[in-house]
Amino acid sequence: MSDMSQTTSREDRPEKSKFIYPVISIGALFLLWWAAIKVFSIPAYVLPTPEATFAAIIEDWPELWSGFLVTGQVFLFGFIIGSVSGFLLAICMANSKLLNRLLYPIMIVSQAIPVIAIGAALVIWLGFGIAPKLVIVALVVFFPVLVNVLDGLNTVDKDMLDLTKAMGASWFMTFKQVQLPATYVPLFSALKMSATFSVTGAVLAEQTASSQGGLGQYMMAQASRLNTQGTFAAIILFAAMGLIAFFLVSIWEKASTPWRRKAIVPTRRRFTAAHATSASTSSAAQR
Amino acid sequence: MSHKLNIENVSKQYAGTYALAPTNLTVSDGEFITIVGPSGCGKSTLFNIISGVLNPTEGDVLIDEKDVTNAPGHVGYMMQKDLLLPWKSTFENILLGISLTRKASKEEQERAATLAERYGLGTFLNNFPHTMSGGMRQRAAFLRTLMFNKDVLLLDEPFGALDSQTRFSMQQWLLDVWSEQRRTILFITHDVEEAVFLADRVVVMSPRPGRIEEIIPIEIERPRERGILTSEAFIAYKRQILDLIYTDPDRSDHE
Ligand SMILES: Nc1ncnc2c1ncn2[C@@H]1O[C@H](COP(=O)(O)OP(=O)(O)OP(=O)(O)O)[C@@H](O)[C@H]1O
Ligand SMILES: [Mg+2]
Repeated sequence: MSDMSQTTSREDRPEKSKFIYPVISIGALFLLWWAAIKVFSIPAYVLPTPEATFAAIIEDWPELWSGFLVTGQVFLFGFIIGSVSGFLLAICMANSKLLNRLLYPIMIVSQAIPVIAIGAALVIWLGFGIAPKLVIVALVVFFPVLVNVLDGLNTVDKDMLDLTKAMGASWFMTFKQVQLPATYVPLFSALKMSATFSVTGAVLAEQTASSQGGLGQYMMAQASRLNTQGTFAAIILFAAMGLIAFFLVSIWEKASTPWRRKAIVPTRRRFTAAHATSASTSSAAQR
Repeated sequence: MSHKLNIENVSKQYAGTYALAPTNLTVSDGEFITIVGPSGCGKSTLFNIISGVLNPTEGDVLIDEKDVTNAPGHVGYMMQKDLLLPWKSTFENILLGISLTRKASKEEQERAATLAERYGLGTFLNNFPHTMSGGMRQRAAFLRTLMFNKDVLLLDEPFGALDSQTRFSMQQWLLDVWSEQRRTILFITHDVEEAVFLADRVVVMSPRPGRIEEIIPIEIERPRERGILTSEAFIAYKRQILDLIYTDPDRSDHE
């Protein structure tokens, strides 16, 4: 078994050095930004330099940070509500042809209506609290998750379902071991996409259901004062929010779909003769 | 030998036409049956009915004299595709039949590991299936069928995707397993040579409507070595079966 763990660690190694690439590319982006201003002599009120932007971030940090937390909260909870409800509805729709046929057109129609339009109505219904903003962010995440999870459930081979049936499996066990894992790859694609989209959703939400203290509010206030540095400071923090979310989803994805990159199952799921005597392995066989 | 499996008047219709005409077959305990026939003659349909996955239009399936029509969970079924779950290790895949219904016991885990060890998958126990060759995947799928631990095994073209060398060693291997474990095997193949080499009896099926054309007992002693492939008796069986398959009733010029 020891020679196998070596194989895994060899696979693990490039993972760490992968961090260098985003650092390089984002660094290059800042350099390009800086160079463009110098080369084309762009005035500061049109486009501030990276230094000036960071100076603005540091200067106004307490307010930006509290704005980041307020918007981040809307983003996070909206994201969770949207993905969980999209996921659950996909499972219901995959198991009921009738539900699928009835709901699919509604889903598509709902996506054709601009979020801002819905937002205006939501403010009327739900007021100016956090609720309409959560709904707006959730709506942005909901559809990609629903469609991707449905696709994932449909990729399960009919023969595979026949096989589990021949083995006398219950609906739940088949779902847990065969259908659910098949949704992971498309689910995480949707979540990664949504991680960045829902930042946009959060900004939109703050613009429609305007309220105090969010980063979107901050940005609009700075823009109305023609404070380009302040505006860009907010933009940088939005980008950071999207990046952090994307990064967290990617880590979660890697942990949930080891078979896509690894040759061998994670250590806790491995069978070794010694393991068989401990209780932990019997659950490993279940996973 | 007692009757292990009785197929009594089993048929399947789709939109009023027979995919499988009423069919009777009795299989003894520990018997090795191979089934040959052109594409679409209802071989998989018959397996789906025996395994309880598909409801027959009429007829009964009995195992050990017990009616198991429409009742899944009584036979080991290996489909043409290996159907290994990509997110489970070889070990977890082999134990699928158990883990779908309950927790695998220590003994079952050890037995799965021992089987995998014995049949050449020992070092791949904790590997994901994508790291294994086609032959190894087929073996894993077969071990999954074995570990499901039913007396009757239905194997639908298990070696169809393999090259002839791998195929031959897999046939040897299957015969070893069969003689060690004394299971009753029904085995679909497109390869007449394979059908004769493995079988106690070869079931020849024909299409439109799908039905059993003839059942041919193969009276060649076991254990069978590779040498028998060129023996007179073997070639005679092969010819007899090929004639049955390729005799097209529309063509009168056939001898
Ligand atoms: N759901 C279905 N609806 C209508 N016809 C079907 C259905 N399933 C199978 N058939 C028909 O039943 C017949 C038998 O199919 P079956 O899959 O049993 O053939 P087979 O002998 O296994 O062929 P192959 O060797 O190609 O695997 C075919 O003619 C097929 O078209
Ligand atoms: Mg078939």
